[in-house]
Amino acid sequence: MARSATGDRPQLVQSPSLDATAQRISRWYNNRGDNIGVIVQEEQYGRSLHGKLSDLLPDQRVDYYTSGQGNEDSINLLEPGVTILNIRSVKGQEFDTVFILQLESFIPCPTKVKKRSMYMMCARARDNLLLVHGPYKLSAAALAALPGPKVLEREAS
Amino acid sequence: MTPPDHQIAMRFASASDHPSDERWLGLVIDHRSLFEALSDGWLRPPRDRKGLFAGVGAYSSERGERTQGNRILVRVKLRPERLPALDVAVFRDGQWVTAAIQDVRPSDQALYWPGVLPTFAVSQLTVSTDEERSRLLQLTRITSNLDLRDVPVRVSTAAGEILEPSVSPPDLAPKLEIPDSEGAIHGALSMAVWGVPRMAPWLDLLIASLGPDRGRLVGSAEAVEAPWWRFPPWSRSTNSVDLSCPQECLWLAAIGVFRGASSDDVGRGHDLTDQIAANATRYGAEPAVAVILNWQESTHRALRGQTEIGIDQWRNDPIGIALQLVLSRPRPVVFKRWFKQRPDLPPSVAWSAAALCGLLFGYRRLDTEFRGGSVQRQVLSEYALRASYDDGQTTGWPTITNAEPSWRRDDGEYVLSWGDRDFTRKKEKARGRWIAANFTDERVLSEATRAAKQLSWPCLRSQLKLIDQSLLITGTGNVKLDSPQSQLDIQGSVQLTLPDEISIEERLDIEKFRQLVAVERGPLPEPPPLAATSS
Repeated sequence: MARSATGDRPQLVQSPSLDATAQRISRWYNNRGDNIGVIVQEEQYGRSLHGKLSDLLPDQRVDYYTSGQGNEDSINLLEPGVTILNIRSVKGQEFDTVFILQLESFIPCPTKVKKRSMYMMCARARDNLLLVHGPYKLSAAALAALPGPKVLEREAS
Repeated sequence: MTPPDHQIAMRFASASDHPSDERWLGLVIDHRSLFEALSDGWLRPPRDRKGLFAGVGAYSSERGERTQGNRILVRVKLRPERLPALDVAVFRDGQWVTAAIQDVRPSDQALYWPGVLPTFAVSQLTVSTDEERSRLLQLTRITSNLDLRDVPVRVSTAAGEILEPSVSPPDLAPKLEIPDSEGAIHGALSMAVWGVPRMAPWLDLLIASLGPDRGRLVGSAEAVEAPWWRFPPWSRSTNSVDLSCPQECLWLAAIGVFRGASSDDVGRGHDLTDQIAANATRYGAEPAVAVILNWQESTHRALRGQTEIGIDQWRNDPIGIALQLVLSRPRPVVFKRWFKQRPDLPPSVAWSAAALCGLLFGYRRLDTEFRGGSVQRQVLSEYALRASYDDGQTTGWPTITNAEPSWRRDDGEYVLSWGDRDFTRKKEKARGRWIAANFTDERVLSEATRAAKQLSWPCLRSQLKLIDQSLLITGTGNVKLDSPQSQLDIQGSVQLTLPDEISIEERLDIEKFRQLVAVERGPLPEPPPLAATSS
């Protein structure tokens, strides 16, 4: 049966390091057991994250797709697991949970194209959406670009 | 004088379409209405009505538009003997009369059924073309909560349809309505049957929870150290709640919240957590409140991915953990992955979580893999409807009204029955075989002792073996031999002086071992083959 989206309010999370981000994603996966999409801006960051998650989730599916590798056509959405993608590869995909990492590189969105792009990434989440930034705090301009706490829950750091 | 337009015969079925010895009812609906009905197990009247028209030996068709766009018209045949014994309005000799459903005559033309019709009464579907049949089956196959395996779908142009009588039926109050909580209760029942630990004590508890004997239910719940099951998710009674026990407070609060949850609420784990905690603390006594608030905080952290759900402390917090398992994975297809990911889940936590998952998710969207076969769907539909009536009203189905549920072992399987109807079979697993094993067999005793040692289970007793000895007794206490009980009773302080050569052996406490098999976590090996005796 086609199911409607249902989930908690999106969360804004500050993560102090790549290690902490990887641990957060692995804990989320171990608790939720669903299909997770992780969107990154930089390929190097995505590769490092892939290595760390593969160590943390040794028996689980952890895939990394980039438009540069040209392997988007083989993206596995049927099995539970973690799929790391960049912004170009994520178009048209859908996941139970989406982590958008390196948030500081996506916001604020000064142009309509950037806004559409941000909306496209957020809309990949069926149930849960986490916006992750760090290790540095978001700028005032970036924070102002985000919805208020009724829409986006700010996690206490 | 022209006869009044009570009914218009369109085209009656030929004898080859319907066996002459079978009374049947029929109606025409479109495939969307059919799918709606198959989803929750009930064919509901149109919004502006409280009952359904059905032809007797013909298919009753609504007046007005016959087709809408791309919809498939489906002729639905129902077996009246699967309907509860209710009075219906029967269109007989040109007028409506009231009659019991079992007294409907083959010569009657139509009837008005006062309420919903169960889909388990459907015996056949007919569409007009092969293309429609293929489309109908294809749509069913790609929809996870629909199942037409047990219902033949025929192709026939012999319509056998009549239009609904133009004369209104007498004003029958609806007698078969679906309360709002029915879907949740039906979901909980289905998931409880799906996930019941395959061991005698747990099957006893499941069966007791469906039966009328409250004393048996309480005893069965205590036997598996799951006292909160005195209040199954489908029961109404909340007498004798222990309000100082946080586990019972959480259990009852969750049942209340999940029964009232909408499909939009299912994935909102944080909101549900707060509602459960608020309800549990409202009626929990002071010592329980602190535990509930701790649970609330740790559940929020687990739902955010800040911590992993731990089961090491399950004896202190079995329902707290069960709820975390459900709130983090409310969809049954995802929830069931817990059993693979955490094969050491304690049975009480796993089964309580499965029932709560079904209660929250409900029956309507439940995947067919959790619904069981046709007999189970029928029995649980009947039971869920009766359980969802607050006033305990009976529904008139003989299976659940006149008979009681039971279980038995049969050739490596557990069979659950209601009266003389077997409604599900489940393969026995290692724990079930251990509990039924013959411990007079030395191999069984030896393997059980080995397993108990490996798991550090407290069921090994030290046994002092003495042969042809007299022991010196000192001290101020008294020693008495209780021969009938095979017991040495000591009062006060006594010292026994043992000889130089004594033998202390380890002996398995078999009943304690069986109890631990039923309730403890841990990987158990298979018992030696052909070891089971009791049933």
